[in-house]
Amino acid sequence: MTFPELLLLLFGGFGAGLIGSIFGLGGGILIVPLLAIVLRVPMHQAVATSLLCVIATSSAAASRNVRRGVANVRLGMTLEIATVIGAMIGGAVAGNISANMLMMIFGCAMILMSIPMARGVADEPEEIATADELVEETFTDSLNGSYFDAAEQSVVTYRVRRLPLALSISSIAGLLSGLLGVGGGIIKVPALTLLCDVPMKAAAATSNFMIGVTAVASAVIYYGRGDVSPLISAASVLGVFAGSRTGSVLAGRIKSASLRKGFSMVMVVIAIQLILKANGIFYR
Amino acid sequence: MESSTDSQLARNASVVLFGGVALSCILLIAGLARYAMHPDPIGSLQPMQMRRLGDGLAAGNPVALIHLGLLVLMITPIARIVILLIEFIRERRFAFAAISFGVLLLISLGIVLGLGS
Repeated sequence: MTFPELLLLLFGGFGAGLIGSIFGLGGGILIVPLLAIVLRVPMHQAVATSLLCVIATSSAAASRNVRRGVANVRLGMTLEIATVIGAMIGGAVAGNISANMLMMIFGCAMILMSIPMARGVADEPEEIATADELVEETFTDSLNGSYFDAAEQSVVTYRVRRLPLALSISSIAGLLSGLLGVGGGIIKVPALTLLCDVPMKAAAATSNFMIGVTAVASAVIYYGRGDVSPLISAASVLGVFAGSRTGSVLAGRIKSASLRKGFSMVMVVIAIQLILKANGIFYR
Repeated sequence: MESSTDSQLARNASVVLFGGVALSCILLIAGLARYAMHPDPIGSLQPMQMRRLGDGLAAGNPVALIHLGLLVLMITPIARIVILLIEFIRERRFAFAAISFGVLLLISLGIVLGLGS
């Protein structure tokens, strides 16, 4: 790998991390197309690289969210059982399918992910519990949580509902993570918010808390298979990490509905390019 | 609901996550900087076997430094689980300790599968 290629990876990773962070997608969804389409990196290596980027960005963000008490550690640990099983299956399956098939699946998943992207963030759940209501009678009750919302200057308490459903959806998110190298937050956050009544901020922080462990479950499988290229991974991880840190600062200032819709269109275009490349069109 | 001991648990987990990522980034930067000065076109493309990692580090091989950085990165979330497992046992929250142990077992299985393949 030449020095200019390394620089391209660093800056490309920075851009992927920056945009991914601003739109709440993580760097994975953009670093894979960047590596596979622009730099012609083999698809399995691109996915493995993305998983490492996801570990770095989510661990750093989780460190902040856990310290602030926004991430629900007990709920996250419980759902990790499902995401890890899904990720291991995804990582093992990825090793047995061709690069073109993997690229095709990634392109299709990207189109599906552009839909919630265009629609915007999920609404807050209608029911938020009061502190008196949160009595621990069952295991699910022990997952209930509370956090201090700095923007509202108030303590938010909530009751977690429909745990089996959350476990099922988490396993699907884990499967996608292991197969495609993405974080899976785009599935988990709306599910936790809309189906399990977890407030949006806690859902996003808890999802982020889980992503590092989910990614490492399949990353070790890719690493063992020899799909991790050290130089590509190092440059990408550093670029995406720096970009996502910058993006988290800018996110609140430049988020807008029209920008989200525009970016979802870009996602569709990239996805179509991946699907075309997977079928040998234009890129042979 | 959050208990008073949860804050200690959160602080420990937070320190492990931040420290792991910071150490990993330092190693990756050092490895890339050294590679820029002494490129190793063959070694840079190959995954490094564990037993060669120590020799590579002793020789100042940039690719070995990068591998170590990537390994530290992958160990970071696992270390976070270990910390939580210890804290849950200390708090006598055995259901969550068992869940943490289960996640650790699953990841260990993944490591065995990964190294075996």
